[in-house]
Amino acid sequence: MDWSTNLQMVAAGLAMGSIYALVALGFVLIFNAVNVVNFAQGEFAMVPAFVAVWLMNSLNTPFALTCVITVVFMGIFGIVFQRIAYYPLRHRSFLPVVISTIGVGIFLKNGAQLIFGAEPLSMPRPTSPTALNIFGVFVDPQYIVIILCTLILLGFQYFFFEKTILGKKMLATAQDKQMARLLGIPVAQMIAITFAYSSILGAAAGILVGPIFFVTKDMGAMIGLKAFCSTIVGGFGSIPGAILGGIFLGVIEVFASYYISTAYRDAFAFIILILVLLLRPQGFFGEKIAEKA
Amino acid sequence: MKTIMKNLLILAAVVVTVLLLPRFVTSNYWLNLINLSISFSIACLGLNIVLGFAGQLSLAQAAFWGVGAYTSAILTTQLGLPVWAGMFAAFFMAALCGVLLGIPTLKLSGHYLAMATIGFGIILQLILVNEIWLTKGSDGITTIPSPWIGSLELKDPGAFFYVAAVSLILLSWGTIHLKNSRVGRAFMAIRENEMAAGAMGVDTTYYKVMAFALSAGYGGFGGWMFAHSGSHYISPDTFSFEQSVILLVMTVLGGNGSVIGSIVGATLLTMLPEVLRFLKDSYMMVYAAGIVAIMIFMPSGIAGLVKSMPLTLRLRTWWNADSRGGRQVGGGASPRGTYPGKKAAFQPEDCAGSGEVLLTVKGLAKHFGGLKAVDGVDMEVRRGEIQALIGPNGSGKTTILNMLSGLYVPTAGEIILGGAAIAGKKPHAITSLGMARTFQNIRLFGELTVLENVLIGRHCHSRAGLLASILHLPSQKAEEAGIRAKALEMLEFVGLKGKEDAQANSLPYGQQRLLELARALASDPQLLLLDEPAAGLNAAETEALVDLLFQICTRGITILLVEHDMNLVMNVSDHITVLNFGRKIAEGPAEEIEKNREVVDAYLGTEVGNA
Amino acid sequence: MVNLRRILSVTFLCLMVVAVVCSGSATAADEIRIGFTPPITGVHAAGGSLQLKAIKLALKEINGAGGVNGKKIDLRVIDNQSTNPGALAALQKAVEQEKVLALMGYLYSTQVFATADAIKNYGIPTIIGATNVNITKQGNPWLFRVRPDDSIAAGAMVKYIKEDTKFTKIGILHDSDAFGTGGADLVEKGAKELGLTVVKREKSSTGAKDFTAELLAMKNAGAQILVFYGHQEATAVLQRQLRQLGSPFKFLGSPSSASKDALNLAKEASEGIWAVVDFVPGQSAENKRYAEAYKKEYNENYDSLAVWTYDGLKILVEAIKKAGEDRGKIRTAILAMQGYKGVQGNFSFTPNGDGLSEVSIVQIEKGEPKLLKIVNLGAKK
Repeated sequence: MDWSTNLQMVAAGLAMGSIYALVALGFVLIFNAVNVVNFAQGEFAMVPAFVAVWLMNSLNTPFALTCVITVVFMGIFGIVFQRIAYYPLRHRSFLPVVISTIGVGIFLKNGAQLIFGAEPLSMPRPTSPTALNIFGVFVDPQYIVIILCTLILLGFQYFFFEKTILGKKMLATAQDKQMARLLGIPVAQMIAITFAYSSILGAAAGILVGPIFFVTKDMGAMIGLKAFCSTIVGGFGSIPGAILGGIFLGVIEVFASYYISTAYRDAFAFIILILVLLLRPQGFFGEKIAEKA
Repeated sequence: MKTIMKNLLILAAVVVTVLLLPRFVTSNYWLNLINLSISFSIACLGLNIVLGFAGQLSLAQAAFWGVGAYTSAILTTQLGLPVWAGMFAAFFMAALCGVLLGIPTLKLSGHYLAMATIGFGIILQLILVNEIWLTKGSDGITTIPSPWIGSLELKDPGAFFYVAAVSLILLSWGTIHLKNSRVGRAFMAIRENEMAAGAMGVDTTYYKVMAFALSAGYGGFGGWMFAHSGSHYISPDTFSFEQSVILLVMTVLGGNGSVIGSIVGATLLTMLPEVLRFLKDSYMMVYAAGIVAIMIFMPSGIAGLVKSMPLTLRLRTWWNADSRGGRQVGGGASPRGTYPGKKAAFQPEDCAGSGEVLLTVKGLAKHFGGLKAVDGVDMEVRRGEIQALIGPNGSGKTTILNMLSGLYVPTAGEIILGGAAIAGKKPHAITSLGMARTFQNIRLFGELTVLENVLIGRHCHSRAGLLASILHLPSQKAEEAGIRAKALEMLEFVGLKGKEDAQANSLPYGQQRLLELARALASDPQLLLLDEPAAGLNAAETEALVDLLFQICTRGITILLVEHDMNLVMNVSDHITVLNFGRKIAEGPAEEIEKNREVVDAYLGTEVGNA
Repeated sequence: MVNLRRILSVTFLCLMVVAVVCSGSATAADEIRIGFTPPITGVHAAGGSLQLKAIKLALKEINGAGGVNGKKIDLRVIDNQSTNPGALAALQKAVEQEKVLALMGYLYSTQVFATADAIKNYGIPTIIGATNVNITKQGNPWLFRVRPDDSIAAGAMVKYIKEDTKFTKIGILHDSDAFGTGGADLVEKGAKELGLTVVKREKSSTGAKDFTAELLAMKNAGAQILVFYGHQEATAVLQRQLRQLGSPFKFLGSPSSASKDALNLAKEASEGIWAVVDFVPGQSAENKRYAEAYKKEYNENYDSLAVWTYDGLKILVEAIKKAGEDRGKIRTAILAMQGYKGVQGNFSFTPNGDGLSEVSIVQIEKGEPKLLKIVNLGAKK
């Protein structure tokens, strides 16, 4: 069909997809560490967005400093979150933990509304609002920043887990807590750090997405859900799976809404999710894991 | 007899309350809130079945609630069907959606279901908004009719209350019976330990889908009630994800798994926002903090809290004072030791087999990626014998048991049990063909009572279905009595008489092993697979176990045993198969194996040497 | 732990008791009670807080001037939780527990649909801000609308396109909720009547974050002007993306496009867009006075989507002043109002209970709406 239209949509899909991917990374980290899906992952992006907006709009903090403060804040936030929603329930089945993450998610949403008001806030853009024209395709520069940041974070993550002792310790904890404990790895600390790291990824997502989506208490909810779909489509627990799953969903969503129906845009991710569950439950990259009898 | 009196007493109290309530509460505001909380209560009862009983997290209960509301509203306003017909349509349409959603997702772990249900909710809302020809879109459906009884229209909230209250009472009555039935126990077995449930003959996927569909059906019923009362108006924004979360909170607050708890939770949270308006903007926060606090501090919700209060304990004692006897139908009061066929000492020859082959295994193999855990094993187990399967750690013993019992699908090979090929069949199917097992690391249904654990063992020898269980039909009552008698007999047989009502995971370790054995025996197996039954037992317990093994054997049950305790193996086994690195290295009568050079080298030698 | 549990359980019981005891309270003789049921919690809470600000300003002015007929107005605020059952419960609570004389009702159409029956049964005069056309066509005598309904806004949009521009090809994009769908239906119908072509119609769900597909579809269908019916956030995202695609067509938005929130969010992307608004700030003396008073009270600019609660309460009090505390007479008094000068414009009630029938087309310049034309469709009704 029309090439410029299709290319334009690929660009938009890639941008949305990398946002899903960024949040999906956080899901996967926590899932790998404690075998629990954090249903408040979307709020991990909403909270830092509010913090950043508040810093920049009310205190006139410069952008770079805002980023640093937000990241530090979210690191602490992740540890506190872990302490409340996960730690007291760590010896119970996944169900209470999932329910408690849902609870904390709702708490955060309404807390944000109470503190920052219910009106949507706009975050100052670090990039120009004028679209770049790349071979006839209009691209919001912020989208390019998002894609680049996702790539950088992915590279950093690879380096962190493959080359640093802390990363290896976290990996060991994720794979076998008992064994890690025997090796003298402080398991509880490693889990806390995982949550902190996942929450810092949320900070990145929040700061990057804030300028284009506006900051509202509900901004994280749908991103969180789609990011979760990405992790399943890509293969649960797989980091490359989460990234590719996110980008795949982002692109499919734009094309399906153009060629099939814009009204059902939000349905496509879930339809794909159910199809994947039916046809290839382990996702694109997942392995089948058998429970030990 | 007195139990019937008490039941009548409760019934009378409920009837009087229902009849009199609209006389005392005349405000439409409160009556409508009461009707609304009954609608929520029914949806929560449903959520309780799938979440509380079967342990699966569904976040689409508001969507099913909406399916019911819309189905009935469309049928009654557009096709002019009577409201009562809409009621059945609402229930079955929602249940059908439950089945369609449950089949792809319930084969997988709980997270997938949770996510798929969220997706379903979102898709449903999109359909409600966009398919305007059917649903009137976002404008919603107005002037939905009220139900009629004869020529009386139940438009007034006080009149509709009777419909709501009667429905709620009947549904809770049915749900309480369901909980104490074969089907309800199958649900709870899945919640407690899905693998063990399968091994006990419960078709886990079937029962999960059933629980999910039933739960959706209740949701649909609650939706029917919502559509035809209150504002007689429905629109898509009501049936949101947030509403599903609120239903979830109601259920867990009331007490996950408790029927009355669901009703209390739903009523409290429907009324609370009215009372807690002074919290203004922050009450949703208070709710949310409440969920987390409940999960951490009172996981069994209000129901658990009430149960532990002294007054309730006293009431329960009074209640149980004489209904106890009635429950123990046909207990078979023979004390341990006088069991027919009981032998006083070890007499292996008594249970020498008939020589007929019960189980044949040919070329059995299981590869995990590159790892050949089991690599072409042939073996036979003869009826009436005790056969042992031994080998060093990692030699593939448990993998073989897992393939025999259906937990693993073999990579290659045949398994024939009494003439039927069973390789690759599901665990529950294999159990119903006469094979039962215990697990190396005990897999009891921990939160259930000792008796309930054994009752679940009878699953594949009983037939009561969903309807019979909910309606508490006479046939189901009779079957239940039979199951109970058999279970009590088994508990007595293994020496756990008197512990029936203890919670399974409160038992000491040794007794947990015995309970697992009783549960397996309750399924009347021809072949019993025991995976390291003596692991963790002290000397006295081991001796008692040996005694028990012989008694099992004298009942004509064949045993295939995986065990590291060589004394025990040599004592009880008729035949021994030895594995190393996934291959069979020796086979024969116990005496021969003891002398076999290769076995001693590969296995016994090192084992003894280390000890 | 046991103690904690017991304390919790006792707390719950106490709350239940409080619930029953607190129900019902008596009216003081020197006060007139009026109920107000905004969304304080839930998804519409953003609008709710602004409505509350506007109505409290009206309340302060009324009571500051000595109230009505010597009595102060006692405004009872009851949260409708942003849900339909919540809206019904709020209404019932206002009438049966708080015993209010009249009601300041709802901004959202579904909530009006959900409560219309009960309002009719109670026979309580209810001021509403919901703009769905059908609301006042149900034969419910107790609903009084103090905003122009969607047919006015939609009719004005197509009338403006036909009479004041050269465009003939319209694209319609709307939110899939009742407000958006209803508005888009009216635009499409009106456009056909005036001989304009609707080349593409698309809808997106509330809260959508990316409109690339929709905008490209419009562009490829050859639309010259896009008529958008939706909410604040969406309109801001849409305007930015439209600009980034090189503004291939003109933009004419529903009233929310020119609301304070939308302009704050869209910033420079809103420059030059057109929108239909209920009224233009500063178009009348009353309007200017309100803007000043609001600024003084809250130190910020007022929100045009919340002004209806201010006008509504004033109109209600005006009617009570004439009719006394009788619901039937209040109704007659409201319907008899002609040419009442409110913040949003001149109110003249139709027998159906519609108070406003004029809207304005504006262009956004430097973040402020500038009047292009006032369109009055009153004659058509």
